[in-house]
Amino acid sequence: MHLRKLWLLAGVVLAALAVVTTGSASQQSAQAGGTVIFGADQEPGILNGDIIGGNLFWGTEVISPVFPTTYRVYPDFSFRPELATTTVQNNPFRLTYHIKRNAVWYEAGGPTRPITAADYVTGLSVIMNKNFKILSQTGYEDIKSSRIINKKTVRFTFSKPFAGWKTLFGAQAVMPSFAVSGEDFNKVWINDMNNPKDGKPISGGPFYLPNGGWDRGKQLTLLRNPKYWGPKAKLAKAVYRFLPDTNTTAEAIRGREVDVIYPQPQLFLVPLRHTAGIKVQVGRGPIFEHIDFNMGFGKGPFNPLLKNLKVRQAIAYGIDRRAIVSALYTKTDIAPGLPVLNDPIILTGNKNYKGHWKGYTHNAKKAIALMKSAGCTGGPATPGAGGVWTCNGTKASFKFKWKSGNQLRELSFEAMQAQLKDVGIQLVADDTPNALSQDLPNGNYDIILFAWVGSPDISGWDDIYGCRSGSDHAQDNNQGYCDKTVDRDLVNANHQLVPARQYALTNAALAQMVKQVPTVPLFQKPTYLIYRTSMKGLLENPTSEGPVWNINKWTKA
Amino acid sequence: MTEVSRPPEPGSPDAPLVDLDGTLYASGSQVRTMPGAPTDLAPELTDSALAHESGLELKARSQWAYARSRFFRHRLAMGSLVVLIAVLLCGAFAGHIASYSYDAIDLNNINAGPTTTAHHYFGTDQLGRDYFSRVLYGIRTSARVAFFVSILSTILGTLVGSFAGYFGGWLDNLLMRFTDLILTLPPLAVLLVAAARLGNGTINLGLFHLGQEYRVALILALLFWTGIARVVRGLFLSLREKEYVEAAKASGSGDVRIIFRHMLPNSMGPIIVNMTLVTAGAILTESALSFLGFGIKPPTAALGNLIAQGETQMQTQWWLVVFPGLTIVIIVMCINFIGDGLRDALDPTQRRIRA
Amino acid sequence: MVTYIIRRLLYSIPVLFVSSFLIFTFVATTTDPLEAAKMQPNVNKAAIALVQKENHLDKPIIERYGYWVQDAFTHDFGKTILGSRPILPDMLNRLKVTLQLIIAAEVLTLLLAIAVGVYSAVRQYSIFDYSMTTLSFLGLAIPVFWLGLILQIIFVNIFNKWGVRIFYTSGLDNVDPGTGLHFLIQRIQHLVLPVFTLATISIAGYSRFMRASMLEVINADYIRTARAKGLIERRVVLKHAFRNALIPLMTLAAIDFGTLFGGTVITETVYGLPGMGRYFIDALSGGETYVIMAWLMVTSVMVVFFNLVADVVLGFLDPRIRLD
Repeated sequence: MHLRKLWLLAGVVLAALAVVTTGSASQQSAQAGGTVIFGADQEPGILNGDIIGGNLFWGTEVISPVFPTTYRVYPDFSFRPELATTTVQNNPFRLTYHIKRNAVWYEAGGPTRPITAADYVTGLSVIMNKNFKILSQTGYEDIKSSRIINKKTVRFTFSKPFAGWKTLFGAQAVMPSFAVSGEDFNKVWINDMNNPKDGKPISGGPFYLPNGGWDRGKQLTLLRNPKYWGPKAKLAKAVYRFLPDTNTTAEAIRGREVDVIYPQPQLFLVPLRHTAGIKVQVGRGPIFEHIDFNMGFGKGPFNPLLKNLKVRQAIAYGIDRRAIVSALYTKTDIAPGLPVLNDPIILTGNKNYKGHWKGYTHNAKKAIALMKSAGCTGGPATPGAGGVWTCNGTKASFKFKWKSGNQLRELSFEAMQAQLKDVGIQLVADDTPNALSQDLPNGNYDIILFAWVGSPDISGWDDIYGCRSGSDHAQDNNQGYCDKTVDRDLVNANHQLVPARQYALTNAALAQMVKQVPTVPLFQKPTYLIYRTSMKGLLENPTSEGPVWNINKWTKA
Repeated sequence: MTEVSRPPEPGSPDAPLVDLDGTLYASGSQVRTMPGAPTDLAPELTDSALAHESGLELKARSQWAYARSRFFRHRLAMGSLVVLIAVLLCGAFAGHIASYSYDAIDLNNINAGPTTTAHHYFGTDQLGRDYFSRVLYGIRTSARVAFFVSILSTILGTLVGSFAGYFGGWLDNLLMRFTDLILTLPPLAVLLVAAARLGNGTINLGLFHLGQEYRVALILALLFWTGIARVVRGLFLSLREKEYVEAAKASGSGDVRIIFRHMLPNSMGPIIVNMTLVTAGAILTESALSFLGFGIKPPTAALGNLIAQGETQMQTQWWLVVFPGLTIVIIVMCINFIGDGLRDALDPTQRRIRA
Repeated sequence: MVTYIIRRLLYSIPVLFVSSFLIFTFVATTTDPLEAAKMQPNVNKAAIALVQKENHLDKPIIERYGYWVQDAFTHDFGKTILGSRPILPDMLNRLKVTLQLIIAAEVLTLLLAIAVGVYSAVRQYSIFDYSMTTLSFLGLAIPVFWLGLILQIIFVNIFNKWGVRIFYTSGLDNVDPGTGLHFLIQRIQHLVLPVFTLATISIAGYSRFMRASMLEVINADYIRTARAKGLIERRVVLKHAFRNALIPLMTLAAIDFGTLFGGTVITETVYGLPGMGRYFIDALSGGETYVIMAWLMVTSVMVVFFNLVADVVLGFLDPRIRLD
């Protein structure tokens, strides 16, 4: 081994790299123009959004430009028809879909075929098939009968009114019947979005996934659908790069390795807002953080004090939600002006938002008074005993659960822990990796911090806040909370088709709920759409649609 | 060459053993006990040391005194020791030095840079907690972890290694296969699984109520003992052939007595040096664990979780990463230098005396 | 020698079985691939039950382990729980990426560490020796994820300031990687930072190791004899001392190489590389029990195998050792 040779080798490598830098710079500009590159922090496992395992966020962002949807949710939370218009009838509840005349399926290298009534019926039969691992049948299970009126018109009759009908027949629920019928749906659209019968890529949207377009672990490439029936995409290509670490995606957009990222809002992203060549749109997302109290659900062990309304109220008053939101988002400049959320279900930004929880502002005196009137002794006045209340022999110390590894929740917890310490209530960190999959459904928590995903469609919440009974009612109520009025109002809201009345029923339920405080809403998680200014036409959609909802309008300078 | 790894150690009984600065240690059947082997490894070879070398027989106590004097002459190691003690004292008396509690939240004063006003020497973090205080308390937590890991893994490793090496045969086989088993487990998986199994929070052993730092320490110790076990086994394999051990056996001393009174004291050098390695490794691994979300949980401050939490903000709030990061680098470097000095002072292969 | 190898292999079989069972018990009880689905309100419970039944998730652990062993031997580690993808082909793809990374890192490490180690030993207590010692102690004290992040920031800033793309900071390839020389060059530009990040600690450790090993040999009797015989110092160092000093380092490198298959998690996460480490993290977050198991088995076998390789190589190179 000669050192001199080694140096020579190093010199050659460096020289080669120097040549390269200029070479690849020109290559970079040559490939620009028609391609948008996403930095996706998560890779979908499969591309079938209907079955279990197919509902990851970036999976829906890949599926959405390829499959047509009956209704699209716009940034103002309104549903607007895309594939079909609908006629609604009552008694019995009937939906008639009138499919767009020009709507067609495109098969790469093959013919186009019209999207027909049969595609709706096929979608329904697949979704209701017991042999397939369909994630959710909500709404579809109420359909009693279907009738094809003509090639472009189909009518469904329901056993009972379904208020969330606009969510039905979205992407991949209208299925190309010529491709899907007779297939084992569990094996369709796993690694591709092809016609399983001939292996050709299929699309009813502005893009399609060519064969070999998904290089697992690295990237997924969509190409423009040349025969799209709607306004054709202006970009020729959309590439999803899978970069698991948010730090890396942030550096990648600064270094022009990607064009668009959609990360969780975090402090280190703030400087990007002031970086030349990068734009950030902040939205008020549909995901809302809240704490739930265990009021006696499951085998425990849980602290029985939470069954006491006064203790729950004391906690609600002891927490300074405004200070938490301000510390996490306003003062950090992550999302200045993000308000405290004062209602679950109906979120801020919705014109029907009332804010029933707004009475629960930070009030340490009130919290202490409430604990006293609950018959508790000790408390902050007696620091000798640790300054924690004891009520009928039970210490006011609660296991606070969240899913490990979430820094936002960690910080929220730490703030609440410090605030409640001042009013004599102790929170003990109890985060576990299985907090949501095991501890929550088994009732193994005192207080739990997590999020639900809200929706412009406000039906279905009886599943969470209704009275749990039997094996099919309110199965996601893991709190042991039950109020007959709330249950009744939320169930009725599911079948109320007039939006104003549906909101009135839901608000009535919330007004009743706030009296018992089974839950305390905290805030809506802001969304961050970050893109290079060379991209035009992007508009943040804070609903669950995500950034690609209008991808066919995007251009790249 | 791993990211989350045990301290350097041999992969097999016959492979050479390394410490962090690359000294070769005993391995399998060929322990280096070359009497009279010349060495340049000890820079401060003094007159008194040379004088010693001409001596024929030394008592254990004078060996230690000799080692001590050599260590004290190792300037880098002594300097490191002073710095390390100073840092550790800061941690131990964090409650007296720090102006704030480690979890005192001040939402009106978040993300402030380092300043002398209000004693925020290291700035404040996302919840307005004084970072100087958090780093001081972090030193305390990390030192506890490191100390506990080194003690526990050394005891465990020494026991396993000495019994395997002394008794040999099926016991050696069994213990070494068990060591192999631990070694084949990827450390990351073990850490992860153990973190999930033991859960968060404290360990409750009836009378003893240990904080979560001991949980993390326990997990690390269960990974780190294998290196020491192999070193000790290797040493014992060769020591048991020595005349004085034979003599002790002949005079009817019990096995346990021979192990602890005769053989162990002669193996202390490598064991102590290995302890320093484990200590340094424990501090670094704690930080990697925190990066993966399985380390010490906030609001408790540990140097590793401070870096991991501040890591995402380092472009804007550099102080969140730099101060705990520097502290780790200083501590780990000091420990390594001390280990270096100790090796020079204690390594039996460098003592030119008849063992 | 042959009997030694066979005996070692036979020993490792029960070790792997016991460890696989222990790991299986832990992994299977702590991961749940259906976690996300179960959290979905109004989820179709029948479908969940279908997936559970299909993958034996509803069976006791012992029985599940039995099914897993069967799958591992007869069906290439079986399929993923969500999406029923065969596991082995995916893992082999990831293995290729990791192999590139670790071979490059190992080569870089050995080249630098040997050069630095030998030179430090020959010029012991020189300025070079002291500065390398300091540098390596520093290298040993820096957390890997931190180093990766700093490198990313540095190179992105260089790019933004001067418009020169020296290295990429994410992924394995460009969106359009091109072919031939262009492909090769852009691949190198993507791999340099991860390789350096992965290699830093080992360069520091190995160079110290090499230095000590070299010093020991230089001071050994036979080298003194060689010197005394009047051989040129350079020839003594390179021909006699260097070769003998290299043996322990090579053994160490072989052992480390085995552990690297499962030891690149942080580097691959930081740089977004689709290798084994990422595969593990993805499987973990998706709760894919059988992928995690397959991964652990493959990495464990690598550790065992390269340990054996190290022993055998050492046995060949070092006449003082006999394997029996």
